[in-house]
Amino acid sequence: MLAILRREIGAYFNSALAWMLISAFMLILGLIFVSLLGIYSEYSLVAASSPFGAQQLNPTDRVIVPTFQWIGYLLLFILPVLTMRLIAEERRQGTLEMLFSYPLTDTEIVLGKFFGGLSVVGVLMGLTLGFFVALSRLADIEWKIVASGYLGVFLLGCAFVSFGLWASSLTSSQMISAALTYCGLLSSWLVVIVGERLKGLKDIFGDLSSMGHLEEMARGTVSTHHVVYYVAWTCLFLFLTVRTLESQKWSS
Amino acid sequence: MICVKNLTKAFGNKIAVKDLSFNLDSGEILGFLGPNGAGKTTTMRILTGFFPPTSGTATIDGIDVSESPLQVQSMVGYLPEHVPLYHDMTVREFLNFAAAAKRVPSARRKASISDTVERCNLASVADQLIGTLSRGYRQRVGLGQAIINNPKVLILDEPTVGLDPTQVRDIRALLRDLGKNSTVILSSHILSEVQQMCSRVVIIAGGEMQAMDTPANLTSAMQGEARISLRVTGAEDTLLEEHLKAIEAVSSEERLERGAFMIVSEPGLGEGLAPRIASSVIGEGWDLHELKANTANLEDIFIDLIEAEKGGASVSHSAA
Repeated sequence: MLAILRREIGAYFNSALAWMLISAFMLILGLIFVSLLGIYSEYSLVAASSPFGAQQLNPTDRVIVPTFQWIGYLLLFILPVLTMRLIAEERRQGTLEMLFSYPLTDTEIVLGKFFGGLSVVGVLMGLTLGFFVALSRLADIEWKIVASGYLGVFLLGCAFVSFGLWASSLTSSQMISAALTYCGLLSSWLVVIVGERLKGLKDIFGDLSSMGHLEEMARGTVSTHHVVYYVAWTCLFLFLTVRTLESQKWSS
Repeated sequence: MICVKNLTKAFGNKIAVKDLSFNLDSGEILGFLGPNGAGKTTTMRILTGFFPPTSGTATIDGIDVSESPLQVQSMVGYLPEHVPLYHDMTVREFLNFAAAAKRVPSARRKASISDTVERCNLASVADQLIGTLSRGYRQRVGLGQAIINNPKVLILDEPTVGLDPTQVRDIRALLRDLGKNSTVILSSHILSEVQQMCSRVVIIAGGEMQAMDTPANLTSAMQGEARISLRVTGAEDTLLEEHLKAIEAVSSEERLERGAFMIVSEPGLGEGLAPRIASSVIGEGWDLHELKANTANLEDIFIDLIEAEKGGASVSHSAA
């Protein structure tokens, strides 16, 4: 498994694509972060002149939560492009057949690739930490909340990567794999809209939304409820990926 | 070393391999000969644990492939057709990956990589990206990943396809060298290759084994049957054909072009046919331009067996 993981990490960070996406991610997030700070500082001027304003003003609601939300949205847009190649490329090149002749189980191959995809999420998490360090110089922030948000981002990353990996195992075309991942991830987010139209089912649909759980965690609520949601999602799609590989071998 | 028993593999209704059995002793080089789609790759994939057979068993060194694939895979080196490689890695990185994936202990990894680089003659390109290498070098890298863990069994699917003649010669020399340490199965549709390199040949067509023997035995089975090609001017073709038919021990003659015939002797009576034909043609006053006696080679046997298979299939089809 480690051999596959090392190979995937090498493949990502030797390619221009990963660095371009990481740069774009950081650039966009940087712009958003600066504008969030701008709004926040305007509010603080207003708050300073009003005796009640200060209570409403806290960096968690105004900066930290939106930043984590945006990290989630941006992950949704870059991860499909990063995970699309994981298995589809190997199938197209024929290297999958070579891997299958190695003394590796399918689970090892899938996990190696999963953690390989997750390595990019890890790099992004490391880089975005800079924003919170900068913020901590300007305002008092609760690191506990930041940590909870990062746990949320990590779990969201696991879920998204596992879905992308599964989509990639279904096809030999990276385009189809990416398109499928976009469809899946967008609907997992937007399912909340469906819920708003249906009375009584709002909570259920809201609970199904992948972004909703991240938002809660960014506010500092680490409940098993959210963790179980992402972990179950990840396990389900990792399992499906292993099964897909197996069944394709039997019928190829 | 390798024991295949009643191996059958079906994909839905399509039977890719049917009731295949053979044994292979350690140190042998087996040639798998057959047209495209004959079931060569399917058999090889079963042996490498890619998928299990529908029925029958395959064991390598006494271990059943479908029961403990990991154990078998760690002593098998496989080169798939078309030599898939990671083009974004250098040769050394790739070999390192293969060694790690095949669980070569990390202490021995460096030594086994440099050993492989040496055996496959890759030293000059070891730090080049695989994507920039020529076809011949890629083939060697492919062989390199197959032998990196010193496998007891090497399975090579069409190892010389798409190479130029010099590269083919180099790869064959390399394979012969590798054959000294391992049992080798290679597939090919190039007959001369199999004839030169293999200690045994399996001819497979339509998923079924047509013949299995040493190249020498297969050839001698057909010997005693002479094939003579002939070119004559100064005679009408029909007349010439009548005349040839009348010569003793001629079993069939086929007109290739104007004045040119291919004559096949009756089995076992090929000896002395060529001079008889020559003297009788000259005796008639015709001009003999060319007379060539060919001994049967694997190619003829191969084509005969494949044709027989096709003929048999069409007969049973019309009967049904």
